[in-house]
Amino acid sequence: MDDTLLVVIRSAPYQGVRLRESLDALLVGAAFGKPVVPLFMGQGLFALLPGQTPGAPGQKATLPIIDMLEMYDIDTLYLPAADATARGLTEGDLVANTQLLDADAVQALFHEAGQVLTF
Amino acid sequence: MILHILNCPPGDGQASAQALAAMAAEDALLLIEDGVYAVLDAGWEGHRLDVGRLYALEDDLAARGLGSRAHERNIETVSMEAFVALTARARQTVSWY
Amino acid sequence: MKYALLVMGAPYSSQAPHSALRFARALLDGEHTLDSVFFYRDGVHNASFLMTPPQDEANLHRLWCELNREHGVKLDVCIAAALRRGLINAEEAARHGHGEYSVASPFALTGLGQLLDIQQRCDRVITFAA
Repeated sequence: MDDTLLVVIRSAPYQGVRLRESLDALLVGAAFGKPVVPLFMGQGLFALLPGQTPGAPGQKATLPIIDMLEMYDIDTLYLPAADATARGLTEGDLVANTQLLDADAVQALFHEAGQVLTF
Repeated sequence: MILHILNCPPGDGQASAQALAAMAAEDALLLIEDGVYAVLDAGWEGHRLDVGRLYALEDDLAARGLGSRAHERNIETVSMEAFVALTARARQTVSWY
Repeated sequence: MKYALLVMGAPYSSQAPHSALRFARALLDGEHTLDSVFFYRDGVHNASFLMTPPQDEANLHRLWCELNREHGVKLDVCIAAALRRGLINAEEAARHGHGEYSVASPFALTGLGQLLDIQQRCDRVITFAA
């Protein structure tokens, strides 16, 4: 799996365009036919809350992008279980297709990737 | 070996903790920019890394008045040239900011 | 080894461009080559030729241009990230009806896909960000 691109997303919605520009990298990778793996860490987990209303603070919503990742063959959205616990979130609080990883599995994602982009 | 590059001090945002969480046993961590302030934080978890897994950039330490502090900890100081060499030796680099 | 740098920090509000430039100089002093620098997110501000810092401060735009002139390093800027921040070249300015522009050669506006090409053709891509 040396061609895999791991994209680490650490921004919550509406912090400027940080999240949007992170997701763009994910989409472009997928559009180029690269196997892309998204890992949501820290505040990036907030991108995965369902039911976000669009454009609350006059900005474009990012949830529609999360919802369409499956169409780009990005089937699984990974996150560290510890980061969810620290934020009082469980898998049931998040959009579908998320997978919680223990510490070893998170480290393994970095080692299995051919390239890593941290946003 | 993956070289993780950290430019934020411990306790300032999420980067420091995330870098450590992402590190596997064979990985190394290089402190650059404000990341070098970690030398002052005796309680920082990164100081528990084995010898040879924790580096700090000399220029950034010196620029912050910390040139003489790194030897108090388990940190190997590196020149810019040695930074380049570390990235060449590492299979991959991951930046935390 | 063939290197590329990804710069995602703005000049004068982060150390990222300075660190990237120092890293670039050090690697070029050794046996490595530097294929390109890709500017994304707030890093696109490095591309403005209008930046005019006081004379005793480094002009980052000029330092990037020197790197290009001396070593042929390509300077690629994500077009979407640049345009939304008002960083625009003559061609895009004309297309969008602006009379002025702030980006010119050797900086090239290009798609984010270019970053993936760079990853494919380079042995190492090092990120400097803020």
